[in-house]
Amino acid sequence: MNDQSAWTRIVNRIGFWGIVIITIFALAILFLLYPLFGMIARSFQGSEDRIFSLAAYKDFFRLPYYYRTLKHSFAVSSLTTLFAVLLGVPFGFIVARYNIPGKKILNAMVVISLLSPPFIGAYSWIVLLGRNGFITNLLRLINIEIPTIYGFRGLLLVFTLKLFPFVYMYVQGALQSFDNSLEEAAENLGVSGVKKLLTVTFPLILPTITAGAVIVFMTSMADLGTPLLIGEGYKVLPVLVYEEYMGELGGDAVMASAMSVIIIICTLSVLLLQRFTIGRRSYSMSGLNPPPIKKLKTGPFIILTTLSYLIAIIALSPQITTLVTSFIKTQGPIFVPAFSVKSYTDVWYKLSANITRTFLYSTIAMVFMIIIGIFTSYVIVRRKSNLTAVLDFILMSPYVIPGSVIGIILIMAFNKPPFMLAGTASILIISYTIRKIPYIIRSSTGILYQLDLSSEEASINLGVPPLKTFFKITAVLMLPGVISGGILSWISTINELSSTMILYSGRTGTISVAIYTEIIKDGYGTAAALASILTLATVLSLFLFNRLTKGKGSVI
Amino acid sequence: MSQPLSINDVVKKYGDFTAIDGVTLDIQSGEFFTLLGPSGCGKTTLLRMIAGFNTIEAGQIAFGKRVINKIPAHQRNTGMVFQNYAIFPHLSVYDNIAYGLKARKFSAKAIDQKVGEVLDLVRMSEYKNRQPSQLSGGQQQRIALARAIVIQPEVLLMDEPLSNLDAKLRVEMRSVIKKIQKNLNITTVYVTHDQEEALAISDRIAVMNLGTIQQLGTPLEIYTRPSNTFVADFIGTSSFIDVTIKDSKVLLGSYSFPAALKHPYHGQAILAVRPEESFLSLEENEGLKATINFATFLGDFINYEVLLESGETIQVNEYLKEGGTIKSAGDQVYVTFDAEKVNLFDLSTKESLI
Repeated sequence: MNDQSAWTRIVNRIGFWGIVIITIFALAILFLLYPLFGMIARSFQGSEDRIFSLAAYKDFFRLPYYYRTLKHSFAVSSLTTLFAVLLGVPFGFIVARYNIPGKKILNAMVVISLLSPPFIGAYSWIVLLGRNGFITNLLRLINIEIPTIYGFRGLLLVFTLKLFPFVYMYVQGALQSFDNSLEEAAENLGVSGVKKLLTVTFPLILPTITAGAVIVFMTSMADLGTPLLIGEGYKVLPVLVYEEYMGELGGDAVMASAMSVIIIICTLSVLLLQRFTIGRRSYSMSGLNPPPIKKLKTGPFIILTTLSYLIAIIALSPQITTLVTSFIKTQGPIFVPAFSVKSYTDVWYKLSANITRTFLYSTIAMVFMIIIGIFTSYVIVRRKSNLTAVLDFILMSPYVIPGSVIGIILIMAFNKPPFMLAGTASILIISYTIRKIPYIIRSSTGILYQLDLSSEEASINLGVPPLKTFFKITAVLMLPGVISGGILSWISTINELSSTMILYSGRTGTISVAIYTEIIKDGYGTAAALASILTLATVLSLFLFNRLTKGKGSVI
Repeated sequence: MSQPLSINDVVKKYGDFTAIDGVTLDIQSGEFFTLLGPSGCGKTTLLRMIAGFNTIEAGQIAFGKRVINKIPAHQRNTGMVFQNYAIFPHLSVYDNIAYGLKARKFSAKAIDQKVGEVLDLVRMSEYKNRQPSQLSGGQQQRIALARAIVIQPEVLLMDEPLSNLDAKLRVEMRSVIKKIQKNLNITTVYVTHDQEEALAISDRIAVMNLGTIQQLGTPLEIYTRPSNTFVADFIGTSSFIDVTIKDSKVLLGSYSFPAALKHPYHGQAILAVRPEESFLSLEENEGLKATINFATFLGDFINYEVLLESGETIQVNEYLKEGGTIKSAGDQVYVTFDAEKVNLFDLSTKESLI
């Protein structure tokens, strides 16, 4: 008996899905668990010959230079979350419940601002309100000095405006699926107006609001690009991790690892806190009987409509600013009042490779995500076992790992033989795939849970074997949904900066990296042109997404 | 070709729970056989064991002489109609029906011919090129049936196929199904919880409860002579009264009537009376003294809820007669029973005494 027949026997025994499970496990272990545990182990490494040490953690909590950043991160993220809720909940409620005209346009504006990267927001607000900003200079003419936008205030401004759309979208979603008979029941029992909202409506959508709030908190805590651009002296934890790792003197990998672990613990605890308290009480409603849209009287109608569009325009102002400035003539960092397409021609000559790379890497990552999404969700849903539950858990873990930390764990794991991937396109594609895998798995399993098992059984009953049935029926039926999920991931991948900042090399820089370096080099015009190209790609793919999902898809 | 189906002492377990507890059935070739029972009785589980979607823990199932226990679902050659029809949403009507034929490697010409024939049979020819989303529930039902029979299955399996249709369409579809089944003479196992549907459509019925068969028989047998109180209660409506049997007579206080017993029996028993098996009289007779509790007018008949002196209530139906009056609540009546038709059950075993 030779090796090949033994191999065939093994394959026959574990079957196609066994091989799928083993393959996904192998990939997850190699590209996620091994790097992650490598980093955790590194964080406990002692100096010289000591194998285990808490020195890095002790230093972190002892030295203000370190622990201050954690305090800063918490301050920024908590206040951002608070403001995002204060802005997103009423705005979402008003647009969902009242006859505000052009809801689709409003929602499109909010979605576009949501999907564009936060650091473009930071950059645009610098262009508008920074030391040499348009508005700053205008106000200076009439002798008004506005407070500095750099540091804490800037972070809060950028993050709130960038992230409140999460809360807005969640509130809208919850209110749209709200069962109106509950409110009618309250009224029938003699409770109306604000009291009805406080005793029935808001308690029921509270779990959804907090879910949105947690995303705001986690995103603002994890973001690297924004604080790098606008944080300046007010250092938050991801910035310190980045500096510590990329430090000019080779950096302190042990300290960077320890701090990465601390960030993960923070985001994870917030997520778990929400899941196991308010999130538990999430109520599912059919949405078959949504509340009617109320007509406002003229006065309130004008006020609320103006307010709604004002909020949406402010949220979208980074995109508007970059689009406008991309067509303004520049001399170094100075904008000159004249129309020009030079920014675009500059991009074309100097940075077209970055554009090609961005779309190439994101598309390859998207193909991986779609394939992994279909196969993995199938084994998680249809081949339920303890093993696939573990797989599900492992693949969800990147959800709580900030992008920059994913960058660090990958580069620490793969910067030496046999896995010499540092500086290659592969490591970027791997990082993009890992970052988005939790989202793609959630959306794919969601699709599969909604697919009726009897379609597959009907196919088998009609004589098509199970594996062939998977390809002829299940995969075909899942594909549109998984592709729409893939498009959303593609959008966030072309806009990705946090892990790219750590992983790119001269040969693999993307658009977002080019924007960042252009801003640092005061190449504001080219940065604006690049940002506009990203926005255009985002809008076009959103359009495609809407076509695919027939307008019913949710971007969150 | 249509085959007889024999199920021999089969068992299905989910952990400690026994869903099917040693069921044996012999279904004739061409027979329309119904598994009837309340939800959770195991009827769908058994059907899915025949289809191959549930494993068989013990016993065996055979189509003709072919034991199918170990044959995977896709090689069993059964045609199944699902409760929600399971029409492939991405395929046209034509491609849905051709699906099983393609899997059987028929030529394009043969497929075309067979699909055409079966569409004629279910009267859906003009819908050939429609997408499933353009079909109504009843039309989807016809396509699901066409798709299942076009492959000429050895056994046709139907899992509550009419439960998603409205009442009128349900009655119409059940005669469509029955006619096509007789026309093709195809062995059919039909699952339903609707006793009226089962009585109307079946050659034979197995009434199931708790994973076992309670009674096996023709619709007439099951309705007129239920083998235990569960069947008497589940099929149609029965009122149950505690009685004593002595010297082949049913004793109810001063009222008594002859009992058509299978074996001699003495002592406590349960009398089951259907609403059409009792008579009410306003004039005093030998019957039980009782009071009308409630009268419900139902068109061609009136249903009375009648309170006996023992405290038990029974249902009685009276057809409208010319010049007849409707009794009203509070009226005193005398109740007598149709001794030939009523059923008697052993108080302890709940099994029929007749």
